[in-house]
Amino acid sequence: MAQSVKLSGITKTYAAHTVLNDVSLDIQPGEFLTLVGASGCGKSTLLRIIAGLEEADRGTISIGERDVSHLDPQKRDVAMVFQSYALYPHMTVGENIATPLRMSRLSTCARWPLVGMATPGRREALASIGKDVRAVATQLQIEALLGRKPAQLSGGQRQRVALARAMVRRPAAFLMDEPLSNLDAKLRVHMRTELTELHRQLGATFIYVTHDQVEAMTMSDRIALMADGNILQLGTPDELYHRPASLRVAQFIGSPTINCLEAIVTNGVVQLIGVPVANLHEAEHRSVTVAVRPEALRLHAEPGDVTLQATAHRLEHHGADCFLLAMQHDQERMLHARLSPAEASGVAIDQPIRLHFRPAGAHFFAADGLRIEPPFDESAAQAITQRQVGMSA
Amino acid sequence: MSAAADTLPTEIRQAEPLLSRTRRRQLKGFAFVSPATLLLLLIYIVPLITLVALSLTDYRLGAMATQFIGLDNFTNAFSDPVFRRAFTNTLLYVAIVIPFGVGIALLVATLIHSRIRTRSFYEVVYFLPVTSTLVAMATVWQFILHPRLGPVNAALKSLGFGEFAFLSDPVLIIPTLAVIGVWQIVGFNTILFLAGLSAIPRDLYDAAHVDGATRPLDRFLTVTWPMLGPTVMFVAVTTSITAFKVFETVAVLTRGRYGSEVLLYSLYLEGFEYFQMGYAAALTLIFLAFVLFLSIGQALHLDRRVHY
Repeated sequence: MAQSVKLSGITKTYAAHTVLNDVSLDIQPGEFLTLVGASGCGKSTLLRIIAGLEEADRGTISIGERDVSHLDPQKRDVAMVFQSYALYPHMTVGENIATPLRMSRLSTCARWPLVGMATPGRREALASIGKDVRAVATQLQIEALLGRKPAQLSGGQRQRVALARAMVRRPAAFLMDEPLSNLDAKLRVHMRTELTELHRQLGATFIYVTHDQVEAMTMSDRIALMADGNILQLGTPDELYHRPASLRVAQFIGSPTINCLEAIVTNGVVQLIGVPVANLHEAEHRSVTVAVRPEALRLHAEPGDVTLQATAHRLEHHGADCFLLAMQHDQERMLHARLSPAEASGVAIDQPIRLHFRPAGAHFFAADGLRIEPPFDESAAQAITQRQVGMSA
Repeated sequence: MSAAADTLPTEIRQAEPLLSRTRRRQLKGFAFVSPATLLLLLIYIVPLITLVALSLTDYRLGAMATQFIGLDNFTNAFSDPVFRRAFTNTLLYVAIVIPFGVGIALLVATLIHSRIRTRSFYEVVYFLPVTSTLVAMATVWQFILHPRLGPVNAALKSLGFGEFAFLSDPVLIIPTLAVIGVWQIVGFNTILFLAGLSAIPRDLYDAAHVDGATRPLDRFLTVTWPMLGPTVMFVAVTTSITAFKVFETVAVLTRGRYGSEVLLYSLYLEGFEYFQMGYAAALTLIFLAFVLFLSIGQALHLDRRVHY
């Protein structure tokens, strides 16, 4: 049943290129954990190492209480769903699903063509395999397809067959390598729901690899965001979105991308375009990046807001939302703001526009990209205001 | 559009083109097909008809008069012990070359395929016999298999076996020629199998590995063999045709002596040494029918078990 997967100090190098750099990860039993990152970040390699298809140079993998670092994939009790589905094209759907069971329940001898026919116990084993295959097929609603070849199936049906082949063994953990990326957009959204539903039903541990942050955000219990062979941040989708540990995390998660502006720090006060926005405890920072989510930018000002001057450039209508692209004046950055259609209707293209945000709703990152937490309590806000007054006097 | 047509003078509107639309399409179609048809006629059909016509006569090269003799050439052929021996010899040769030529090539290809750095080296080594001319290589084989001078017999003798007359002992001669035939064809088949192996998606092996096909044999039976189906069919057909056409080794090494006649060699003797053109034509037809029958049968049989 559902078991924990524990990685510690996984390192993998190809020639001179380090693909995974001392990666450690604790995955809870029954958790849906997503490894997300741009292509080449090492997420697929990590999954293949967990599966046992590749061996790590250093580090250990335990599933449940067992150290499986040097075991064959089958002995690790994991199942994998591949991006290409990797169905055996010469077998029917039923035979495809039965393959993992044939390998485990039939003896080597019984698997031989012709010779195997006479092996004792073969008939009983095949009957039990057939029963399990039908049960899984019923669960995934593909009973009608059992006699077909993969070539006769649609993308979504192949996806289900691949899932069935993974499920039939009741593995300790499911490994999924971008299983939805070959589906069309609509089906992908549908399968997202189905997979989460399936995860809940099975209660099994899912380790899911994707480059699509939307998939990661919508499906996961926790996300491990990877870059250059390291885990940048491990947390719930909410944590990654609302408290990104670094600028790279903030930029990866969220669509459209978070707006970034450069600010200078004098005497511990963050000044954006000459306007103080926050007060820092540590005075050693020279410059910081102020990052604002598109939905944090507003057209109407509230007390204490920071105001950005920009020129409205383009409106993107998405139905319920409308994205405004505006060129910010001082730093010549394209800003994205998420507006309601009602607000957007008042925007005049190529005309100056003011965008406001609350400093407490912004994220601050040091020059090394790490998150800084400026104090945003009342006293700090007052301190800023007082200093502002002092400066203007 | 229709309004414009209505205003046109009646004569112009009713003027039919010289040829109707369908007729022109037909002509165009024929024009496109004609070069291939013409070539096919010139290269295959006309010679084949000539061959059939010749096989029913007693035509000899340079003869003044020729007679129609019906199927006599065919009955003569099947009652001729030399031709019958050539026939069984060829069958034996093919029966050895197909399984070994295909099997060894498959084994070599699967072994080479997993090499990373040495792969191209082995590819070249196994392909060399294909690039060399068989006539020249046959002379080398003659030396290698020589009863007294050859290294093979020297090795056998040192192991305590007797001396083998590979190229003059009637029992050994066809198997020996078949070994040379296998040697010649393995490289080519290996390259074909390597191409087939490269076309198998890596994911399938990964999936098989995760599904529990850990042993090489399981992986071979689950992925490699079924996925190579189309390649195996192609290789088997080309190998059988090549094997049927065995000629050079016989012509160079034995000249058909010691009971080593094969179909193509007796055909060559009848046609180009004895100038029995009518008889040679009949033999050619028998040969063609046989190759055709076997390749069609093989293609149909294997086709059913092969997925595409």
